[in-house]
Amino acid sequence: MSYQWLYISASVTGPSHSSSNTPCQDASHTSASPDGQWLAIAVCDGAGSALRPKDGADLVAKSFANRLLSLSAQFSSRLPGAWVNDFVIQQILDVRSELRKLAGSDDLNDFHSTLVACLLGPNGGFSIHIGDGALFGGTGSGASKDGYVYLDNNFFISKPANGEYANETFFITEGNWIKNLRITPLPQADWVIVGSDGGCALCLDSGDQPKPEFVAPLITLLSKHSSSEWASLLQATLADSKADLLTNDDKTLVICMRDSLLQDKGASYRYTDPNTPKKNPATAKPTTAPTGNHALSSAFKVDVEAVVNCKNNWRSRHYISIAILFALVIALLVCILWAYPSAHSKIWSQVNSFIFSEKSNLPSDEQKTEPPHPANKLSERHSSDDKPLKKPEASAASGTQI
Amino acid sequence: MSAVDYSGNPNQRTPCVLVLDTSGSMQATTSTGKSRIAELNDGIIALERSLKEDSTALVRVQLAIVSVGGPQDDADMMMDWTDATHFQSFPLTADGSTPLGRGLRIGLQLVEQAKQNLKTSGVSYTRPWMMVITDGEPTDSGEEWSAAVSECKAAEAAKKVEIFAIGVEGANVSKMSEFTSKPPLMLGGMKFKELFVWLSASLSAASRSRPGEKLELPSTDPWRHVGL
Repeated sequence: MSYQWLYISASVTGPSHSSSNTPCQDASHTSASPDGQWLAIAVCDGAGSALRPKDGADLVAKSFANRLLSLSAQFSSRLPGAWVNDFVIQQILDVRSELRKLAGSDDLNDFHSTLVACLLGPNGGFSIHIGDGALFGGTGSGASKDGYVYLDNNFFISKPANGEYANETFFITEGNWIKNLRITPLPQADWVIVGSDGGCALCLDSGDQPKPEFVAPLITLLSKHSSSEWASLLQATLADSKADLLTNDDKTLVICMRDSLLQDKGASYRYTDPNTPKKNPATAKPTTAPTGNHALSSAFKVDVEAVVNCKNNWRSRHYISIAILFALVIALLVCILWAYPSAHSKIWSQVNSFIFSEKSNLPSDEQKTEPPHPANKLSERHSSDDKPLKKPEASAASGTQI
Repeated sequence: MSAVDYSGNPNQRTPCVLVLDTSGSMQATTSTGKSRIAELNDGIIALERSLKEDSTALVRVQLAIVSVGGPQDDADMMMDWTDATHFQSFPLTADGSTPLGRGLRIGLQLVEQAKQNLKTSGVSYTRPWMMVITDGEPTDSGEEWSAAVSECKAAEAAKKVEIFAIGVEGANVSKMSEFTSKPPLMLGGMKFKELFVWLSASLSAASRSRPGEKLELPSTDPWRHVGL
C-alpha cells in the first residue's frame, strides 16, 4: 500500500503583465519528505504595487515550504497540538527576518506577498493562509470496476481573505500580519490544489467554491499521462487563451494527489455527482491565529483517532486475507487427500503442523499495522498495483476556528 | 433602500459620490459667456457620455450626487446610487448659500449606505470615492463644519472612503484642505468637461484594479490649474 504524494506546479504570466513586460509575480515551492509521505506546499502572490514583488514571493515560498516540511519530523515523536501554532508563527517570523536581510532594512513594503501553504501527511495536515489565493482538496476512491476514479464532493477549502475591498488584500510582509494569519487543520485528503489569486480564478466559482467542471477534467488529464508530462500539461492549461477570459492576473496552481488515486493508468476521473447536495462541506473558515488553540488541538485529536481507525482497518483487512489463504490451503489439502488416500497419515501430520504454525504466525499489531514503505519513485507511480485502501471517514476540519 | 438592482450585474462596484457646489456664486458668468453652473452641467453630460463609452466602467461604476446650495438653499441628495449603465445626467440649478459641511456628511452617509447595499447583495467593491467640487467658502456654522471635517478625516484614516477636493476659481483652499489629507486641486479655467472625463477614466481604472496593484490614475494635467 502506497501513500506517496505526487505533485506538479506551474505558473503562467497573466496577459496584463505580459503586455507590459512585467515578469510573473507569483511563486510556488513544494518540498517532499524522502519517503514521499509528507508534502509541504507554499504559493505566494507578490503585490504589483511593491517594488520587488517577485523577489519577495520567491523567498517566502521557498523558505516557508522548507521550514514547514521540517515540522513533519516532529510528528513522529509528538502528538499534534497547540505547539503547531507556535511553530508556524515562529517560522513566519524567521521568514520575515530573511526578508529584512534581503531588503537590507526593516521596511518590507517592497516585498509585499501573500502566502497560502499547507503541510500534508498520511492522515491529514493543516493549512496556513494570509491574504488571497486558496487551498482546497478532498477525498476520492481508486479505480473501480467501471474504470473510473471518483472524486468525492466533500471538499474542504481555505478561502481567500481580502478584507473589505475587492482590490486590496493582506500580506505576510505587513506589520499586522498576525491578525490575518489563518491556521486550519485539514482532514485526510487524496488530492489538494493550492493556487494564487489568478490560478484560483480558473478553479473557484464566484462564491469561492471549487468548480468540479474544472477540477475533475484537469485530474483526468494528468491521470492519463505519465508524471514526466504533467508540467507541460498544467502549463498549457494555465496558458490557454480561455483562461484569459477568467482572469488577466498571473496564474499559479500546485496540484497534488496520492498515488493511491492513480492505480490504473487508463482510469478516467469523474466527479461523483455535481447535483447531489454537499453532504459534509468541510469549509475551513477564516480564523485568527493567537486565540483558541484548544480548537486546533482538539481537531488534531480527531486526526489521531483517524490514525487508530486506519490501523484497525489494516488489521481487519489482514484477517480477511489470512482467512481466504487458509481456506485455499484447506481446499488444496482436501484435493490432495482425495487424490492420494495412501499418503493419508503422512500428509495429515504435515497439515497439522502447517495449520499450527500458520496460527502461531498470526500477526502482532506492530507488524501488521505498519504500511510498507513504498520504494517506487514518483515517475514509476503507475507500476503500483495496490488495491485502493478503504479509508476511514475523513475527520473533517468542520470549520474549526483557532 | 437602494435605487440599484444588483440581480443582473454581479460585477464588483466602484461607488463614487459627487458633492457639488450649486450655491449662488456658481451663477457667475465665465469668460466663455456661460455661467459656471452651465459649465458644471456640461461636465456631468460629458461624464455620462464618457462612462457609457467604457464597457468596464459601465458595469462597475456607480454614482450618487449631493448638491450644496441650490433653490432649497440646503445640502440635498439629488440622485441616489445609480449604476453607470442607468445614469442619466440632469441639469443642476445654482442658488443660495454653501452648506458644504452638511453636504460632506450626507456624502459620507451615502458611502456607508452603498457599502451596506453591496454587502447585502453579496457584490464586492473597491474603496468608494467622494469627489467634492466647490467655488466658495463653506457657510455652515463652525460647529457643523468642524463635525464634518472630523468625520471626513476619520473616514479617510479608516480607509472607508477616498476623498478628492477640487476647487473652482474663488474657492477657499485652506478650508478644502481641512477635510482631506490629499492636497486640493484647482480647476484650470472652466475645464469641467476635462475634469469629468478624467473622473470617468479614473473610476474605470479603480474599478479594474486588483489586489496588491498600485492604482495608476490618469494625469490631471488636462484640467488642473497650472502652478498648483
